[in-house]
Order: sequence, then C-alpha cells, then structure tokens
Amino acid sequence: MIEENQIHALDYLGLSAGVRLHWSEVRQQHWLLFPEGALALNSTAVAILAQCNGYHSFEAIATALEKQFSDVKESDLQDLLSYMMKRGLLINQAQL
Amino acid sequence: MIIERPLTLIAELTYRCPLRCPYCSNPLNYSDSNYRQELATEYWLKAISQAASLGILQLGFTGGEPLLRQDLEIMVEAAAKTGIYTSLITAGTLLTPDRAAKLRECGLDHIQISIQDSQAAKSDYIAGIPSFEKKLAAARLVKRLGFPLTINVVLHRHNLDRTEEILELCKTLEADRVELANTQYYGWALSNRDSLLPTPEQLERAKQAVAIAKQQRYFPMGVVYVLPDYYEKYPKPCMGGWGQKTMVISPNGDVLPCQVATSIPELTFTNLRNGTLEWIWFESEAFNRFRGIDWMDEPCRSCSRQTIDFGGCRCQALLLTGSATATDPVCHLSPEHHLILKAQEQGQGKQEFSPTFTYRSAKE
Repeated sequence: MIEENQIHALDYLGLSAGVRLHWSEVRQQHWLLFPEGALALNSTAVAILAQCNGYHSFEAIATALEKQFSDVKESDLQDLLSYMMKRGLLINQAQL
Repeated sequence: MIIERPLTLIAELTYRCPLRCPYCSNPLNYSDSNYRQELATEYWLKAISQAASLGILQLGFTGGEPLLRQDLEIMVEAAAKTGIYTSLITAGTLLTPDRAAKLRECGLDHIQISIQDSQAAKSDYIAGIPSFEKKLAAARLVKRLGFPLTINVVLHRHNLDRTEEILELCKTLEADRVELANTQYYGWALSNRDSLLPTPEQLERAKQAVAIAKQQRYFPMGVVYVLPDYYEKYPKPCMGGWGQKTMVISPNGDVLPCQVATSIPELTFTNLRNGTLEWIWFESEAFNRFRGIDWMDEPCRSCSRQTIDFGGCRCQALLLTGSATATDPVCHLSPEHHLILKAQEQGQGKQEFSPTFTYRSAKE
C-alpha cells in the first residue's frame, strides 16, 4: 500500500535544469543525460519521463501509463520517480 | 573480447592556464612546442562529429583553461547540434557575462568551476594567482543563467581541514553537484607529493564532513568524494578500465586513453590528423595495450578482483615501479606496496615544517 503523502511528493515532477532526454542513433537507445552522467532508458522509463513536464499529478501519469502499458504497476512508477528525485534528476515544479 | 563504445570524450583544448596549481594534471612538459601547436578549429569540429558517430554521450571541454580558446563557442554549438551532452570545465576566472550568455545560447549544458579552498587568501595561495573572488562571481553567473553548477575542489594537506567550510561555501553558491577529489599523484602532484600528502586523521574528518553533506542533501545532484588511493587497500579502477569508457584528446590532437597516458613512454598515440576516433578507439595499439586482462602480471593475473579494479592505474604503476604492467603499488597485494608506505611516512615526516611546493610553470 502506498502512503498518501508519498504520492503527493511525486506530483508535478519535471526534469531538473541541465537534465535531458537523448536518442542515440548509433546505439539505438534512449538516454537520460545530466552532469557527468548518462542512464540508458527502457521504453517504459521513456514514456514516464515524457510525462514529467511539471503539469501532471502522480495519478495522471499512472492513468496515462496504464493506457500505454498493460503490465506497469503503480509501485514501479513510484520507485522510478522516487529514484530519479533522489538523484536530483526530477524536481517537484509546483514548488518553483 | 567485445569492445563497448566510449561514453565520454575529454577535449583538452589547450594546456595554457592563468592558474599555477601545484597538482595540475597537465604534463610536466606542457609548455613544449609540441603542445603549443594547438589543434585548429576545423580538426576539433571533425572530432566532435566523429565522437557523435561513435556514440559518445558526454563531452567535457577542459584544459588548461578552455576559455582561452576563442573558438570554444563554435565547438559547443557544433556539439550541441549532435545531441551530445556538453560540459565546460573551467577555473572560472575568464568567464565573463558575455561569454557565459553566448555559451548558453550555443547550447552548452553544464558548467563546472574549480575552487581551491574556502577562503580567498588560502585559495589564491594554491592557485598561485588572485582568483577566488572571480571564481565566486563566475559561479553566481552560472546559476543566474540557469546552468546546472558543479563545484570541483582538489583536496590535499593544505585544505582538507576545511572540508566542512568548503562544503558550506558550495551550498551558499547553490551548487547542484560537488566533486571533492583527493589529489592523485602523477606529474606535478607527484613532484610535490611530500608537500601535499595528508594525514589519515585529516582524511577521516573530511569523510565525516562529506557524510553530513550527503545525509542533509546539501546538493540535489550529490557529492562525489574521490578517495585518496594511497590510503586504500585496493587500487581504483582507473578511468573505469583502460579503453573502456573514455577518450581524451590533448591540445596537439594526440588521442589518449587518459589524461596522463603520455607518461608511459612505450606507448605511441595516434593523432587526430592521422586517424578517426572510431579507428583509434577500436583498432589502435595504445587503446588495446591494457584492455581486458591478458596483459596482467602477477598478482593481478590470478586475482579475483582483476575485473573490478583492472589492476589499478597503469601510469601510477609505471611511475612508481618502473613497469607499466605491474600491479598498481597502491594495492596491499602489490610486491612494491612498501613504496606507498614509505611515501606516506615521508609526507608525514614533513608535517611540522611548512614545506613549499613547486607551482606549475613553463620550463625555461
């Protein structure tokens, strides 16, 4: 069971300054690029990060994702967003 | 053996620099005519396009001081168009508002500024010129323009006791990311080793200050603390392994597996003028010389950690033991480990005095 307040911390997330998505043609792979780092992204992660524009609540992203992928659990979404927040790659833009 | 594509290109645009730090990672002979003949813009643009085709994702413009190249903006623009992530690694003293704004327009992604200490006089003492205030102004400018800011500090005996203050300063500057790197002893730092080596007590206190900054989340993108390998049990996996992740282009166009690889005399490096980055990465002798594990001597050859630390640093092995295929003497399993213990003793023996170091300077 996911706590209510944990969910709200994951509302209205957007990429932090200096963080961006990149498609590498030669590697045939999506990447998240940021200062001194690069993370290879699978198609679910790309779909999630594409939703992170600062205007979507956690619930809205979860609903959008369910339509695209039948096998994505809400807890997986929470894990990914929390991980990206801990690394400073996503930021809650409602606070800005 | 499958050779992965490189992730990072380090572009050393010039070895010229207004600062004179005694641990500079540029070669001791940086002022030789060979390095003063810097690669022209057209070759750098060719290299950037080849880097993108090779799948390189990160490009760091460094030096020396990269802002001394007036064509930096042209290179940044070309790199940004390929989608490669671009970083400017600078001392900050030459970052004017005009140039910073232009770099932003050209698509530069990130700026890293070095500081030498938390106080002006102490920072300037290490840099060898008055520079601290300009660095702070540059850091504020970077934030104002909306770039992510990394602050980089090289740690050694003369500033380790102020690690906490340094972290506080970085916090005040709103750094997104901080790199605290203990001095690595090659080149200039090796010749100044007795004046720079810290005590274990200094390192322990610094470690605690870093732990607090991490726990309190001072910096959204974190603190990287590069351990001093002289005090570790095992060597560091230098560059993530030889020819595994990184390519370096030196100011004259020589392509190297790491910034100090020219300290290994048996190697010859291909120049950008004579080969593509793709060929150099996959085919050249220098990049293949210490790839994998086949080149290893004992004790690495039969060690279970051989694919964790790759035998440590080849340059350090050569500089200290005379053999580039030896185990990095930092490793406690190295038959030459006594060299490290002796260096620690020598450094600490000089603690009571205030040993002067040799600033980076051009050979007469």
